[in-house]
Amino acid sequence: MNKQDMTYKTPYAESDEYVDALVNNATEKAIAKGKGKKGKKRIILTLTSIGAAAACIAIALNMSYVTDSGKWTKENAGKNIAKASTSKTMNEASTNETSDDGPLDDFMAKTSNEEKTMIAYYELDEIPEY
Amino acid sequence: MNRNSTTDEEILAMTRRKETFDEGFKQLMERYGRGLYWHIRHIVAGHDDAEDAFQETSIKIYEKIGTLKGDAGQMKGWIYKVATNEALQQLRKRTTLFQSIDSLSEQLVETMRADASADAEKAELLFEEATLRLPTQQRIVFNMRYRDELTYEQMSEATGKSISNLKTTYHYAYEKIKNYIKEHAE
Repeated sequence: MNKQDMTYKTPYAESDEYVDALVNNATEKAIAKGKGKKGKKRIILTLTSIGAAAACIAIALNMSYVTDSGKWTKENAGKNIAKASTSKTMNEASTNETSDDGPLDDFMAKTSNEEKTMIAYYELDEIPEY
Repeated sequence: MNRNSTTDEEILAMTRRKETFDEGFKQLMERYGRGLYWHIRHIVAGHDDAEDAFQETSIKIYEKIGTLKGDAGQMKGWIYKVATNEALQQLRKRTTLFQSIDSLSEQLVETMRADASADAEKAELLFEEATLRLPTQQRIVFNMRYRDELTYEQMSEATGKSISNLKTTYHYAYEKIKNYIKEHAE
């Protein structure tokens, strides 16, 4: 075999110019496709970041607020209940004073001694829901 | 097309920087595109298949060249590896379930004769027929060495085979082609 007679493209008909044009075309398409993919990745990353940020905000808000009769109120009741239990006894609460400390204190203030006794002896799940 | 004087090292360095990546890719394709096309063509025989495989090769090189580890010496082997894989993918599309691509040789010879230049000499047709009748792996190794003039190191990078294995494969392929031409030459 004589290698000089067997060039890299024989026996096919396509000229060098044709193949070079094909190469150019494929190169441009590859660049365009690559740029398109990079753009899509950026959009997906941006949307994911926004979604994650929104989720964090929603969780943070949910932890700060509780519903009270269907309305949003800022949560102080927890602190106030604790404060009330250390500073007042049941009898003190039954003086029908309206407490400024929170809803539980208000409730206790308006509840009679008899009712308070019944609450104290009830199991939690026996107390009817209102 | 102008062949620039940028070295492989410079091309590889360009593809490793975001601001020069596209330019580096273009220069890479300008330097090796023609050779890659013909490498694919001698595997798949038909122009349409070669064009499809070449387009996929370009896209894959664009996507992956930035992650290529190693130096410029391995770059040529790597791009021929990508081209070979795409050519084999194109051949697999022609096979039915459980059919090996090695069984496509008759089809490939017919495609080659249909696509060949009207001016092609009988010896050129016979030579191409002999290579297309080789088992696929032998054909790839033979073309890489004889036509594409890759070094054995580059061929090892492209095929994943050892240099000694490649030398043996090339030797067997060469002998088969020689015998085929002797038997079928008028």
